[in-house]
Amino acid sequence: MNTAVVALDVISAVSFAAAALLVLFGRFESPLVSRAVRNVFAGAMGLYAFVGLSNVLEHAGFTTLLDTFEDFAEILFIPAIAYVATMMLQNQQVEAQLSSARQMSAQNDLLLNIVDTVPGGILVVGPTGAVTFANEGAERILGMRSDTGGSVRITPSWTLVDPATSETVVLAQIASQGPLNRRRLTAQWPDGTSTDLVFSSTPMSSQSGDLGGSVIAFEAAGVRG
Amino acid sequence: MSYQPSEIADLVLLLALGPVIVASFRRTKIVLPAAVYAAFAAMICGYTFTILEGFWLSDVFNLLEHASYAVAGVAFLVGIVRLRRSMGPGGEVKR
Repeated sequence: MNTAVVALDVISAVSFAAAALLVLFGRFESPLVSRAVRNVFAGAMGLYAFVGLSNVLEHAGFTTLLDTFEDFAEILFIPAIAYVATMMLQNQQVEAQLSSARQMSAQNDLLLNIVDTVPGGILVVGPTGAVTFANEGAERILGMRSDTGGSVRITPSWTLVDPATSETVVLAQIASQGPLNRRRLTAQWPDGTSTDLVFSSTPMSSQSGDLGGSVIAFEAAGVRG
Repeated sequence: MSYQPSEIADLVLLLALGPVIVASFRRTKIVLPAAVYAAFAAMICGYTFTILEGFWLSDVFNLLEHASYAVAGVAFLVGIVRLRRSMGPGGEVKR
């Protein structure tokens, strides 16, 4: 009976040790099986390799020295496996979030490409009238330049005038109004020239639900000297 | 008649955390090979036999306990080998 027990313990020690080495040094090409997962999993396998070794030495009559530590090794095994399982699940969730962020970034790049390809001008204007985005069309038609940061644009010296009333219109007015559909305005330049423009805008909501500015689109309807 | 408190603790831990372990693994996209589940089952048997040997047929249950751990070790090894093979080059799991 004792010989059988020793033989079984040898099988146990060798197979758990082999499993530990395979987990530690083998190739797992899934982001779920991270290095941390592998280390803990290999540790769990190593614990039972140690238990097997301790049993071999004990039942073969060599020594009972390791027997004292066996209980600790056994009791750590299940929490270690539970840790591996929850960590793999967590890795999967992190991987899903990263994948989602990568998709959003790709969509953002695509949207920027589309916006920059549009021949008309597109501005994103905050509630105070500060321009936070201008596409290439807006830069070309209204001569808007990026500042050094690239996100906030500097408004040049033109003045927007309503040709029907001759009143000056500032971008903050357009941004604080509701939706605008093809309103005609004239950009008057310091050199006396003017550009007829057709404006449309869509208000944006801030996270608190307040008006967070507008997306303003415009196209040039003609230039007068 | 004798048993060690740590043996009871092992079994309680396994029964308490076993469902968490299985549920967590099942929620991942990795499909665990049947051998891994067999290994866990063998561990449960081993923990149970080691307690039973303190009460009844000690030689038989002692042998069964050690046999369970041997089966668990081999099953884990087989399961890990299969798990590696089931993963494609990009880390995706072949179903």
